[in-house]
Amino acid sequence: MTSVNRRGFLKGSLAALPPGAGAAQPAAGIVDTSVYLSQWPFRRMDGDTTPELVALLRRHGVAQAWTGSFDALLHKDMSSVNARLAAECRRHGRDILVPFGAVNPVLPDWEEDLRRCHEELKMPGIRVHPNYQNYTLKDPAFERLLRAAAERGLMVQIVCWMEDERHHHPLVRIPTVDLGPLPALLERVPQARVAVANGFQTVSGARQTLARLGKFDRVAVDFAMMDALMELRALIETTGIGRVVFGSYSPMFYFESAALKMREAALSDADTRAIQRDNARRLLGP
Amino acid sequence: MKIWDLHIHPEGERIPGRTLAEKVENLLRIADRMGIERLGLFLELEKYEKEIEPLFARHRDRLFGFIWMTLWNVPLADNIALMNRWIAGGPLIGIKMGGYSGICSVPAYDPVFTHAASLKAVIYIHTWLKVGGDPPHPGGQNLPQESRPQDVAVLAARHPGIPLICGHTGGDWELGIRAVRPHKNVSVEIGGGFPARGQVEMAVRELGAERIIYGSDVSGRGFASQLAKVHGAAISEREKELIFSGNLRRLLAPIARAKGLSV
Repeated sequence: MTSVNRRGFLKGSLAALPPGAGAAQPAAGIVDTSVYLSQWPFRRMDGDTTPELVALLRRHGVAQAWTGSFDALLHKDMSSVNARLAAECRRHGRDILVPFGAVNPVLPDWEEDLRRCHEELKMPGIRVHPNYQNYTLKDPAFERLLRAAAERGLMVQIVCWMEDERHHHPLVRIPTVDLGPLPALLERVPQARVAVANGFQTVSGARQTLARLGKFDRVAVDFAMMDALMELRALIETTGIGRVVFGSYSPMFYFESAALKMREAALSDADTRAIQRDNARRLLGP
Repeated sequence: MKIWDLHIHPEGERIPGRTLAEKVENLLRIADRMGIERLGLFLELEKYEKEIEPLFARHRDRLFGFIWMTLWNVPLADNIALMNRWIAGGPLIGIKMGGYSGICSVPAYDPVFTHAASLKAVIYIHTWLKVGGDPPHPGGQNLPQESRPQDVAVLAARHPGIPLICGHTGGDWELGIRAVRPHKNVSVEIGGGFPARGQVEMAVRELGAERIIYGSDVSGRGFASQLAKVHGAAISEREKELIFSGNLRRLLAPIARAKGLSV
C-alpha cells in the first residue's frame, strides 16, 4: 500500500465527506474494513459490481478495503466463493481490495477452505457469518476455527448482522450473532486476532461486552451499524480509541454514513487517523 | 445546500443538557457541524409545557415544532383543544403521531386530521412494517397502536386534499413506497432506519423527488447515517435540494405565512 503522509491523510479524511458537507479533496489513506463484493441476495444496488464498487471506494479516499463476498452468506461451495472473490479482487482492485475468504466451520472439511485461503489465495484473514451459517460463538466448531486461523496467523472477522431484522424476508429471518462468548474465547486463544463488524447498534445495549473486548489489544470493532446521536464517541469512550476501526459496509450502506459519523463525533486529527487507518493496519499486521 | 431536519426528539441521555433549552442548544451546535439549518422538534407537551414558548421565541429561525399526539386513548375534544392552544394560538406548526399513538386509518380519528388541515398544520404519521407473526409477514410484529404505511394510504384515500407525511417510509421502505405510491397527497420521510443504499433512489424513481422529505429521528439515530441517505444517493443535486428542504418548506409555507414565519 502507498505510504501516506499527514497532509495526505487529512486530505483523505476530507475526501470521505460528501459534496456539500465539506471540501471534497482527492487523496487517499482510509482503510475500510467492511466491504462486500457480489450481490446481496434480496436486492440489487449501485456498487454491486466490482468496478463500480472500486470506483466508489477510490472516490472516497479509500486506500485499502477488506473485502468479503455476499455469496458467502447462503452458498455451500465456499471454495468457489473464495476463488471468485480472490480473482475479482485481483482483476479489478489489485491495489485496493484485500480479499477475506469465507470459512464455515460446520461444513465438512472446512480445514481445506482455510488452507486454500491462506496458502493458495494468500489472504490475510477470513470473514465469518455465524448467524447465516447456523452456529453460535459457543459452538466448539467456532473455537476450532479460531485456533486454526490463529495458528496460521490469519485474522478472523466476525460479522454479526447484515440488515434490519424487522425487514427480513418472512421466510429468511436471521438472528444477530451474540458476541457474549467472545471475550472468554479470546482468553482461551491468546494468539487470535479478531475484528468485529456490524456488532452493535448502540453502546448502551452492549456496554459490558464492549468494555471486555476493549481490554484485548488484538481486537477491533467497526461502527458501520452503530446508529444513535454521537454513538461513535460513546464507542470510543467504552472500548478506547485503539479498538475502533473504520468500516463503511459498502455497498450495502451509503459510504457517507461512516464518513459523516467521524464528523458528527468531532474527533481530533490523531483520533481520526487512528480510526481511519492506523488501528486497522496494526491489527492486520505487515 | 439548505438542510432542514423534520424529525428530532430533543430528549434522552445522548443529548447533553438538563432542560429542553439546554438540550436544544447542544443539538443546534451539532446541527451546525453537520450543515443543518433548521430542526423540527417532536414534543411531548406535558414534559415541557413551560419551556416551549420561550424556546421558540429565542430560536424563531432555527426551530419548528410538532405536538406529539395520541389518538386512541385521548378524547377527540382534548386533541382539538391541544391544537387550538399550541398551533392556532401558540408557536407549533404541526402534529406527529408516534408508534404508540393509534392506527391513523380508524375513521373515528378523522376529526383530528380535518381540524389539523383547517389550521394548515403539517401532519406526520409514524409508520413501520415489522416482520413477524405466525405465519411471519410484514407488520406481524407491529405494536398494537402502530400505523403501517397501508394505514396512511387508507387515510389519504379518504382525504385526498390533506397532505400527509408517511414517517420512516414505512420502515421496510421497499414495501412502504409501494403502499403509498398511488396517493399523491402522501410524502415519505426517510429517517429512522439504517442507511441502506437504494432507499432514496427507489423513492425518487417511484414517487418523484417532490414527495420525499429528509428527517433524522435524532437522538435514537444520528444525523450522520440519515444525511448519508441523501448525500450518497445516485440522484441529481436538484433532487437532493428538494429532499433536504425544498419539499418541507413547500408543506410548511401555508402555516408559516399565517404565523408570519420565514421559510
